[in-house]
Parts: sequence; C-alpha cells; structure tokens
Amino acid sequence: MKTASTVHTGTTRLSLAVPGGTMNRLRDVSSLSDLLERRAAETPDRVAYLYLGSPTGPVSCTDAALLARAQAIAHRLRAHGERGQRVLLLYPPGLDFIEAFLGCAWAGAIAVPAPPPNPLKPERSLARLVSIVDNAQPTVALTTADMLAAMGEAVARSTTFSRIAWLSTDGLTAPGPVPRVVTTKEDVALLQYTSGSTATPKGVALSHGNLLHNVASFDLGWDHTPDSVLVNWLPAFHDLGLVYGILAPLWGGFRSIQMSPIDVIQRPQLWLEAITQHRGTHSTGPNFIYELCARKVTDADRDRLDLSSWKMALTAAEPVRAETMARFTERFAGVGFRSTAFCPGFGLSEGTCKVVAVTAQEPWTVLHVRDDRLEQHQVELCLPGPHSRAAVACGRPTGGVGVEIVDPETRLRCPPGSVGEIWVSGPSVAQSYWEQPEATEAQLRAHLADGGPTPHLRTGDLGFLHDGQLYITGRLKDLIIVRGSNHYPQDLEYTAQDACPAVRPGCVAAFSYETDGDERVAVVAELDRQSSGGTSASLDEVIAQIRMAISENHGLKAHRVELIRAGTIPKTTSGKIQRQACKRALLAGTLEVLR
Amino acid sequence: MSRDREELRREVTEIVSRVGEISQESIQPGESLHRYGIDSLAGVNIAYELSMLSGRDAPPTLLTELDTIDKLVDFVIDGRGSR
Repeated sequence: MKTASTVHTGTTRLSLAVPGGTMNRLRDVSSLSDLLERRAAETPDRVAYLYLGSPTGPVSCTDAALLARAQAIAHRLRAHGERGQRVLLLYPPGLDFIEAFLGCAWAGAIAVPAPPPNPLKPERSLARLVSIVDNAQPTVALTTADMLAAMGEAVARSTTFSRIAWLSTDGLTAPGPVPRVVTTKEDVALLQYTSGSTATPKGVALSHGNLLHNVASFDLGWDHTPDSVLVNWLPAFHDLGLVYGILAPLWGGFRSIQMSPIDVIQRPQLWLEAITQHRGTHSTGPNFIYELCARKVTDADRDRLDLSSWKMALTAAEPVRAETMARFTERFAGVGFRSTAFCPGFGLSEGTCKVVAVTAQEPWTVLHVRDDRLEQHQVELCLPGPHSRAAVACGRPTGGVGVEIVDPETRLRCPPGSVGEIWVSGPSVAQSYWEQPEATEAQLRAHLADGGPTPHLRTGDLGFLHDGQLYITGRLKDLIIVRGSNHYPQDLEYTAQDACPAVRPGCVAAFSYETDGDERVAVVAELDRQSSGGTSASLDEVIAQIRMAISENHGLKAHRVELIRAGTIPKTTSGKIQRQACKRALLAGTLEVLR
Repeated sequence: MSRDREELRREVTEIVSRVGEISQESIQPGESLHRYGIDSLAGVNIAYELSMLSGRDAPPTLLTELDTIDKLVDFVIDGRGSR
C-alpha cells in the first residue's frame, strides 16, 4: 500500500527493494490491467518472468515488455469484440500465454484458458473443447503460429470452431500506445473450466476482485519479498499455475520462473535443478510430484542439488499425504531441504484458488483419528495404528476467508469435533458459474439454515476444524481427482457407454477409490441382455474397449473395469446412478460381476 | 524378424510395461496400448524413455499416434538409423 511515509523520499524505486517491505505489493490496484500498468511504470526493467523450457535457452520478459505485448494483443482483440468478449487461450507452456492473458485484461475481455490441443489429433482435441465453446461463446481463439498451423484444417472443418476468429499472437505489435479498457473489481476477468467436459461444463467466473483478493491471500504468512523467486511448472490452465504461479508474483513484485509441465513430469529432477540454479524460494505442486521426486531422482542427480533456498513448498490440488512429505524430506534433507518448508493447503477454482494454507513459519502437522468414528462423521483422536487415519492440517482461515463445517442435509453448522461439508465465504468466492444460474445459486450462494445473509461456496469436500486448522477427510461430491486434475464421473460414464454398443446407456458408474495413497479410477457398467451371457473373451473385449476409450479421451487409466448384468447397478428411486453405493459394493466384493 | 528387432521389441515392451504398470505377458505387439489403460503421465514418460532409447526427439503425445508396440519399435529403429 502506498502511504505517505513510504513515498516521500523521492527514491521510491529504491524502497521497492526493501525485503519484506510493503511497497512491492500493489494492494490498491483495482484490476489486472491496473496492476500491469503500475508494474510497468514502477519497475519497467524488472525481469518478471523467465521461461526455462524453450529449446533455444531461457526466455525472459520485463514488466515494460509485458505491457507492450499485452497492448499489442489487446489492440488486435478490439477488432473482434467489445469489453466482456470471451477469448479462448490455447497455449503450449511458455510466456505467450501470460502475455495473451494480460492482453485480455487490457482489452477488458474475459480470458478462457484451456489445455492446448494435441497437434497429432486435431479433430479429437477440438471435440474436447466443444462444450466449453458452446458455454463460453468466445469471439476469438488466441494461440501460437505453430499451433495455428497444426490446427488450421481441423478448425476449418468444424462448424463450432470455424465461427471463431483464430489468431496467432506471435510477433504482434501495436501501432502506438493502446489505451486500457477500464474494468472494475466486479468485472469478470476469467472463466476457469475445471474439466474439458462432455457433460454440462461449468465455467467458474472469476472477477478481477476475486483474483486480486486471492493473490493477496496467497501472500499471507509466506514471507514473499522482492527477492523471492517462485518456480512454477504447473500449467497455466490450472488454477494454481495461473493464480499463484503467474499472478501472485506480478502482484507481489517478485520473479516467477516458469517451466514446462511436461519437462517436469518426464524428469522431475529438472524442477529441483531449477530451484537449485535460480535459488528458488517458493514452489508448489500436487502431492504426486513430491512422490515422483522422492522415487525417481537418482542419488547422483540428488547430490548435485542445493535446496537450502527453498522456504515454502506448497502441496495442494489433491489430497496431501503425510508419508509423501516425510519421504521427500528424508530423501532431500541432505541437500538442504527443510521439512518445515512444506505448506499443505486446500483450495478450489470456485474459491479462485486458495482457501487455506499452512504458513511458512509453522511446521506441518498431522492428527491421527479413529477410522470407525470418522465413518460416523466424528473426530476422535487416537494413537497411530491399523485403525487410525492420518489427517494433515491444511491451515487456518485468514484474510477475510470464512470456513464453516456444515451438515449438508440440515444446512446447520456441525458441532465441534464432527466432520461436515466445508463451506467457504469471502471475497475470493467466484461470482458465478458462467450462464448457469441454478448451479450458481445452489453451489456458490448457499445459505446456512440459521445463518445471516452471507452467501457460501459449497465445496463438496468433507472435513473438520481442530484448533483452528482445517483438515480434509473426504469428498461429498463424486469428483475424481488424479494428480491435481479434476474429472467429472459423468464424462467418464458417457465415454464408457459410447465405447461399446453392448454397454447400456445411463447404466454406468465411474468413481475413484484409494490404494496405497493413490486415487484410482473404477468403472462399473451394465451390459445389455444379449451380451451378458457372452464368452469370457467377449467380455474381455468390452473391458478393453472401455479402458481404451477412457485412456484416449481422458488420459486416465481405468484400473478396474467391471461388467454387471442389466438392471443390477445401484440406482435411486428416481433412477439416478448411486456411485457411492456402487463403490462400496465393489470394494466389499458384494457386486455380482460377470466373468 | 531380425534379432535386433526382436531385442528392441523386448526393450520397448519392458518400458511400456514398467512405466504403464501393465503386465508384460498381456501386451500384444499389434494391439493399441490404450486397451490396457495408459494414463497421460505414463504416456509422456514412455515417450521420454523411447526418445532416450532411440536418440530421437519424441513428442509427449507420441502414444496418441503410435499406439502399438510394433509402431513404437519402428519409431526407435528409424531414430537409430538416422543417427
């Protein structure tokens, strides 16, 4: 915040470099474009982003260059629509996405990031995006020249996609300064689609105010200074990659090192080498990447690392495992990694990104609770053992974020010591699901039965509060989360029934189950009456078809695919598939599967 | 089939089986690997190991195009031939 005491010296730019000072944080900006303009004015030559994944070596971008690129892109967008137009962003990893995203902000447009198409399978990649386009109705799709060349023919053949203007942002320049389209905190900046979906897609509409509040929330307790170096490899279409990996550093005035997610997934040691080389202080990833590092990095590669600069290692976006943090620490303590750097956190796109996270000063903690009591939604502490469950503390609600534990049936607050649905309130709760008023009311503006006017986000996650910290214990919703990516069961079920004509439509259940700390996918499908009596080879063929379709369309391995007789899948009286009942029966071995 | 090819097929099958967590015996060289269930993480890692084996760049999406053991063996042989 700019105060009289910090601006009177006449050397305001020097004061930006004071570690821990507040000058580097632009708390009073009203929109992302305002933020960009202020950054470029105050620190034009600061390297804001450095991308390591380019085959020709690292590429960087200063605040001033970022502004120029955003202006050029905004200039181009203006030919295609007004303020509030939706713009699809389809980018491979790199700085182009960041420039295009800020270009949208400068033009007052609403950015719609999505995973980039696969150039080897252009038709199928576009098919995945159809439901997003139908819902968001973008005027323009921005991408790179390479991607455009690879997708061009498939775009021309598609009625959905040929209606949109496809533009490459490579080398765009503006004829002169491009005035900013003024947006307010209430204006929507971003539609975040949590899954490329064949079912009804939900685009979480986040305003400039949501994003600014959330980046400020990320700043609480994590000791960011102008000398901080964030190393981000999460994709820009993932909420954590965008909000923390890209926007928080711009707001806080510290450097963000960007990496390609594919590079890091193929060679996790590259991530740790980047932290070593650039003296990274802050970095984040879902549980699985810490697990991969602990398992895959060789002793020789490890011994070349120096992780002593790493102050804050956020683990979020999928369930946080104490064993993984312990294993990672054990493996890398010798090269300077400190266990206290781990900061477990919890969030979701409907809450912009972060809801809570452990601060950098606190050690992470674990509670052991009785398994049988947890089944009854009660929290009873116990000693670790075969009948206990470990629950990792994910931090305290602060900075205007409210968290309530609520009985999802009665909508009343649960008494202390019990598990309920996590309800969230505050300025980070999304404005709406785009063009989905009913879902918006039900999930983003829920009211406690005895509460005041405060609207709440119903997260669909289950948890409890203990000593002020939030613990996540499970999920009320049927969402499948694998390695930080969300998948809707409806989409997998649709894919499965489409995969093979012998599967009865509307009679498939997809859900996840846990094995050895991993979330795995199971599909249970009814066969039609003719096929139910088929040979074992014909049943195997149906299973292979379902597995192939899930693998090709969703990038998931269906670990268990089970076929059952027509009319035997658990359903409610109104005919809805009961996924949880199906899961219980499968895991208990009481489901009558066809062999 | 030449001995080299057979040896390579064994190596490629070993990589796919290990990274994709699929039993070696179940893999048929002419069948789409997606029939056994390959997730995206396994897919990019198989592509990476094959690029190391062949000395040739492999896109992370390699398996969407080359989806059988036989096609992957051809890919590796092409890479080795052009070195």
